[in-house]
Amino acid sequence: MKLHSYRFLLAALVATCVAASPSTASATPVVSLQPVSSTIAAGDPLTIAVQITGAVDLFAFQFDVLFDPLALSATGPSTEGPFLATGGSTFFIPGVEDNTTGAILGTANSLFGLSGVSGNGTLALLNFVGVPNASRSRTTALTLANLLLLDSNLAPIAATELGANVTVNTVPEPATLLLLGSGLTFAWRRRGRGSRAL
Amino acid sequence: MTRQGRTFITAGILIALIWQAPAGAQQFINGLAQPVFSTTNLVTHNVWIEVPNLDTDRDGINDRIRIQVRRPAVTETGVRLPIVMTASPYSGGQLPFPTYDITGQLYEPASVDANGLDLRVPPTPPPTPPAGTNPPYTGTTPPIPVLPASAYQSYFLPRGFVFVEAQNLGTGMSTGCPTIGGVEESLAMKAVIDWFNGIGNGWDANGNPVTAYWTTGATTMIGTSYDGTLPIAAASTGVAGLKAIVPVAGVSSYYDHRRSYGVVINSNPTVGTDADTLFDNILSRRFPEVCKYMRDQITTNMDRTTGDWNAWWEERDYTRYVGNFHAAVLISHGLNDLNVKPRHFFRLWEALKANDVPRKIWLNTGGHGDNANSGSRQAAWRDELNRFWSQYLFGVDNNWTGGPRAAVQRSSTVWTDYDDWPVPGATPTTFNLVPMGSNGSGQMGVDDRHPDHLLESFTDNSAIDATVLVQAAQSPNRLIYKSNLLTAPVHISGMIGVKLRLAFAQPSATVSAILVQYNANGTSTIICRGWADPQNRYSISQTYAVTPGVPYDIEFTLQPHDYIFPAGTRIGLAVMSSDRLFTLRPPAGRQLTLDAVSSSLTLPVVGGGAAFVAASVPVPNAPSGLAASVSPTGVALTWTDNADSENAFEVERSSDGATFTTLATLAANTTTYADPGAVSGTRFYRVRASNTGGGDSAASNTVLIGDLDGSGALECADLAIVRASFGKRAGQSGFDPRADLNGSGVVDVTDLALMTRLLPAGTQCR
Repeated sequence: MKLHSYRFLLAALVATCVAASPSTASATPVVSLQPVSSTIAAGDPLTIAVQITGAVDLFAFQFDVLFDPLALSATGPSTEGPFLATGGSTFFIPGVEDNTTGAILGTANSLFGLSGVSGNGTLALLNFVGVPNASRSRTTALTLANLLLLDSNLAPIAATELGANVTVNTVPEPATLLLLGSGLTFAWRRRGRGSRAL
Repeated sequence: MTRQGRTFITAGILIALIWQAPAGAQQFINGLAQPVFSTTNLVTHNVWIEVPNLDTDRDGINDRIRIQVRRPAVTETGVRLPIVMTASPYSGGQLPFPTYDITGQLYEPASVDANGLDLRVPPTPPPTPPAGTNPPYTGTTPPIPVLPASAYQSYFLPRGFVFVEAQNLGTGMSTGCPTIGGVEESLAMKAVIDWFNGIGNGWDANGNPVTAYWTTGATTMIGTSYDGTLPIAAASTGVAGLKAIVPVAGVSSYYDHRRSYGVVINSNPTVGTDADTLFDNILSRRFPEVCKYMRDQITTNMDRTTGDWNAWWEERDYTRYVGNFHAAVLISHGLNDLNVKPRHFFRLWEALKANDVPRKIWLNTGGHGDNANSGSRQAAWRDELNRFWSQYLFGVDNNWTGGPRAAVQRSSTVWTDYDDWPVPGATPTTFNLVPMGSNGSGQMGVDDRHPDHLLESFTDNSAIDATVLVQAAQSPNRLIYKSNLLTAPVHISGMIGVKLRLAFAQPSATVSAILVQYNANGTSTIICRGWADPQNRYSISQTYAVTPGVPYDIEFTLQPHDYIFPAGTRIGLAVMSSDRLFTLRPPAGRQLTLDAVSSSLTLPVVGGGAAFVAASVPVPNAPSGLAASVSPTGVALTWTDNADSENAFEVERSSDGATFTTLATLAANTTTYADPGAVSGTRFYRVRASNTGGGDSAASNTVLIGDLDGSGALECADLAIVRASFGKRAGQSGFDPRADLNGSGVVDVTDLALMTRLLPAGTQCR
């Protein structure tokens, strides 16, 4: 089994466990990037959802997302997920894309008022595109960093962080396809000729 | 020789000396008349003295003043003696004293010109009836009651003074009509004194002409209240025979008795009385109905409607005539006289000064009455009178005018002599007021004006006595400003003034200012008061409409005083509208708004402002640079301590920026405070330095938590500052320290959430 397959299974397992557990104050919420694994062609867009499960009295959050800039490029701006807004009006900060180092920094959101929200949902949606000029397929991990969740007393909420993988495949140029076809034809002919000599 | 023998011889010598003293030979020791005249077989008789060219009762003959004379028998032998006269409207008995209903609405002009000047035309008084309207009356119709002796007679008659009791116009057995201080009463007194000096006509009860062969004509007048006013009235005529007067609690201007800067005031304890009801009170002559026209004229002329000064009042201002005085003056007055208030002696005294009239003044701590002639100082007072009269009536050169001019009572047994009055060194000292923005109490001091023009309002309630209002810790019906605690006595001497910038919600109101002593035990003592009508803000003789909402500077004086605030007390100024005991009582509800910073109190402090500063605990300097950081667990405040005399710092918090409550009282030199608990909503903070004695400093700058742009309000722009700096660390380009609400060195979601918590739920910011 390949590495990305193990990661997929682990994420699914954690997600299943969290989903099966009741949302209690003692449970540790999970913040994950979804989908946990995806493959796109270079140049294709990709939206990654920042999901939370098991949130209790969530009032505000902040995170960074790191990625391989040779595989992905953040196209921003990030958009607010619907989860926090179930508690009322919010103030969302989309974060700043840095495609040089591969990061979306400082995505944050906060409710107004005094109460937080509980449950599962999407915190934010991050927009990427597979780097089009990659010379070869490339897989990148997307990881959460500087994650900070606050409850309505503005106390930190401990959370489990789960990242994601994205594979960006290269897409052959037409000339490349012609060369490839020619090569294959030549090889087939060489194979047939050889058999006759035996 | 035995002791008994020596005593016998001494007594014998004394008896011989008295026996051998020639009749009428006055004796003086140390400039004081000695009691050498027999008081047995006094000659007592009545005389009716004609007042030339005066027929107030319109009976076709000149008015006559009844006098009663008591003199030593020796005056029948050719000895002539000077006269001590008391003239009174009361000796004929007092009638009921009617009172006005002092409740109801205050006057408001019905029509005004472009400047607001009242266009009301005063009503015309009824005409004076023609001479001969009434049948002739000479005042001699029996019975002729004997008038009581003066309180001074038993002391001074043996010392060679004839005592005369005179009855005022229209009172007792005099004829004519009272005029309540009019020139007629002055001329009547002049006529009596002239008759003592051989001028004019007098008759006995049988109508026989009589002369004053028994007197030198040298006259002094002494009396209390109205009786103390008539000496001033007599002196105002310049009558030559009047050598000395002793006005005790006398009126120097009738306007000051019944009005104050346009306000109709009460003469306590006779609340609700006025000049015309006083007329009713003293009109004890027979056939009083002949004087009805005079009463009606007084009612019209005194103008109880507007309270304005007019020609009628001007005629009754004797201070204008002090230049005519031939009499030396010895004033006695109670500093706490609520009837004939201290302004009377003050204005007379100032006029005497201006005209260089020989003078002295005795000020006692009592109320209305002849207080010097009792108690611990009585003997000294009588000596003072004796020296005064011996010089001016007998011509003894006893240097009465030398030495201290003023004696001021400090307690029941303590009097202090001063070279002059107000006490030398008394300097008008301006006390600026510091608003507090509530109905508690603000501060006042001689330092710079407070920078914030915080307006303070109060509502009139004439049902509440001023003693209650000045004592209350909180009241919506007055404003109070207190000085620092005094660590040494502060002496004030002279006139007290206020300038109050007031706006009025209604077009009429009374303005009252009260000087108060706040005692260490929490009680309060009213020292003196003053009243003004804002409609008379430009002139006491003209009414101008008050436009609601427009601030006016109302300047007026309180009653003058000579008072020493003891150590351990504070000087206070109370500002209110109605002063129940002294002013009219309109329905409650008039609202007044004071700009305290544009207002001030002026006290005649002996030694001036420096003396006050030296005697008082200084107000600490206000803290500055108040800054706040907020965290999930509370607000942390820091400030700069600029004071070196504070006992404590007081942290105040408010949810509206106007009404602050004290959150914490901290030790001196503290410069930080943490207000624990989750922070939400609008919070203002400010800090004061306080001193138990000196009071509170002005407030520091006010901090509104979350007001990052300093706009004075919490708004989306403040959130935008957080967003613009989000994720930045201190030292990093783009870091804005304002956005780092919790001071962590980085702008993060905690700052964001702190900010959103401060804004109300439902706020929409993009």
